[in-house]
Amino acid sequence: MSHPGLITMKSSEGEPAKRREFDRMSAELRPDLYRYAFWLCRDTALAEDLVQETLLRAWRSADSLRQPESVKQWLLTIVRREHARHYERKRLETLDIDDLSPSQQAMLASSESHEVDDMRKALFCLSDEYREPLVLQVLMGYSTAEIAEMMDLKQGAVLTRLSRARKTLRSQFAQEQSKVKVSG
Amino acid sequence: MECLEFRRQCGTDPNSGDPAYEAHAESCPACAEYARELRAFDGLILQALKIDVPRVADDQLGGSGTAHKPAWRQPRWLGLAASVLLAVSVATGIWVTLPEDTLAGEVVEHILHEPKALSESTTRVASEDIYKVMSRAGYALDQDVGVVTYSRTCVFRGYEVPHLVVQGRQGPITIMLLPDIPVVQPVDVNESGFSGSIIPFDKGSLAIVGESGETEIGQMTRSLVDGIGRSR
Repeated sequence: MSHPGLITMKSSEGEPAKRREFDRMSAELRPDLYRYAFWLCRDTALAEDLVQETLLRAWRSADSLRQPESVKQWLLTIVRREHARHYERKRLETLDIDDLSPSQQAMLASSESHEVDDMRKALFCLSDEYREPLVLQVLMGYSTAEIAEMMDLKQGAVLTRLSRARKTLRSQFAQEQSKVKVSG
Repeated sequence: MECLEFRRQCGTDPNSGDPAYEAHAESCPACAEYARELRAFDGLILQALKIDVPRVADDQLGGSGTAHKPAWRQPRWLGLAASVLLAVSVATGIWVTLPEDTLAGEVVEHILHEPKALSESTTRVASEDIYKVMSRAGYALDQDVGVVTYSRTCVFRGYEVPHLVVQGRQGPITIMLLPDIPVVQPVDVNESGFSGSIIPFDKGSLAIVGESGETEIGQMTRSLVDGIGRSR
């Protein structure tokens, strides 16, 4: 969905109208930005900070955007950059399921079904390089070519990561399901 | 396309719309079943990725966008009335289910996730294709409801559901039959430029959603209620 307001608002309308249009657009895109940020960092508080920082940066440089149809992709790129900046020195590696933070544990407890719960556990443990393209494809609906552009990778590398991501998830998910059967 | 290549694409780019991929799925039942299983698995991944999004204050960037409008506040008596109703319901054993706002949002999100389905088109989907999609869910569409331009089985909340699009007077109207997702009473859909309703249907529900201002929703709903039955 395009957001033409970002471009049209700045030419003739005043600051309040521009802010209203920006608020409307960012409220619409915020769920996607938050979910993307969360699955990058796996931390609810940090995800909120990343989204807020992203929107602040976007607001400051909204005038520089020339292609309104690419607003979402532009914002996701800022989220990604902010996340990388945050972890320049402290990069999170893959997690063991026993090392989940309290907020991650709380999120699992709020799942609506065991299957979703098990899948979230598997996603938490998936390595960053596999999880990110999967989020962009399954949640955001981007094509592999678009993902390659966003992640600065070759399309072949994206295909490989997506294939390995699903394979790893299937295996991890099956393990979680078998635990349920054993304990049930 | 060979089976091996098809299955590789299943795991990497299942929604590319590649004609060779689609053609192979039509001609190879084993691969079609494999693709169906992976679609269901992707549906579960999608459900897991859709974590709850916390609300933000209206005056923050990315808030509800109502910072410049007077906020609607729930009258105190309404909160009290709801508490009393809930207490009475629990005490009498009658559980009142409130409208599922999140279901409406998820239906709209699903519609936005498949932009191809909403393209204006006059190319009618073959009735056999509609039959295939409906019968997979155990239903049949026995009445002409207009020009159906999109007919697919989609994964929604982890269930396979028929997703059709009919061209209305003002644009495409989306129909989603949700046999495993019941609603107790009609739920209004009114967000992101879409409007319509989700009504109780059989043991589940039926969503009929068009662009805001679409005048054919009521008529379409009546036709669908009359026209959809269990397949034999």
